[in-house]
Amino acid sequence: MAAGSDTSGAVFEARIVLRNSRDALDRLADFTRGFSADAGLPRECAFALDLVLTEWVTNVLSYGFRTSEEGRIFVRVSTTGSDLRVEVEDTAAPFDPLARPEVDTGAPMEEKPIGGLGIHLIKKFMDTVSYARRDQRNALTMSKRLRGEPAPSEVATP
Amino acid sequence: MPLRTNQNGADFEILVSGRVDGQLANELEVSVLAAMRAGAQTIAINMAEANFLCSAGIRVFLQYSRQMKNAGKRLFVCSPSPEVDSVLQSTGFAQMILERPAGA
Repeated sequence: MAAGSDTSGAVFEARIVLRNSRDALDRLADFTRGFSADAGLPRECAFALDLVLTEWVTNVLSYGFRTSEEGRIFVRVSTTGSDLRVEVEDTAAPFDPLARPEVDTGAPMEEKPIGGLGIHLIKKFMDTVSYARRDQRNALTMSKRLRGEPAPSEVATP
Repeated sequence: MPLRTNQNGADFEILVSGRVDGQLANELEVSVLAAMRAGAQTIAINMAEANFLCSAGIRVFLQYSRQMKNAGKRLFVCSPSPEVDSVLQSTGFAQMILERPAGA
């Protein structure tokens, strides 16, 4: 993990490369927790970052790779002072999450869909989400305005 | 321990703590199934100590609340933490399965 200002204007930045292995989600959770603490993210943003990365990477791991395929997921998170930016690229099969139909969250319980909730949560908890297919990779880019109170662990005690 | 089950007759309460990611959602499913097999009439999933909920956990709520309802029984979520509440609100589950115990 690297922290500090860089030429893109990012105040805090961190990257991790995950394999499609059993420990990928645990590594991701540790990475996310570390970045949120280092960057002093507000509690709401730290939770949103954890949630959207968990949802998207779980989706990629669950459906994107063939059984024997060695896959890679490249995660970069950064803050610019006013925004949180999240970029995820993977070598999995092409999948555009934004092409999925919207989940009807107002549907009665009996008709509520079981699938698609993860993508719905990503769109709800981020301010912007965009998808591109480039260099044989899926590239999901998300951003969120930094706002809210610092997470409890980040509040200085007198 | 992230999952604890209390039983009072046919009323079961599953107390969940920590991070309800895919792995804990699988373990929660096992606990719910165990309660159903033990003859639960109601299953309350207490999320007061859970600080994270992803869609895998919601799927467990949805799948087994339907099964319980079809059998004339009830599964509901109670006392959600702010983080859990925000996820339930965002997915339209707050009023569908979120019930608070009387007096809570």
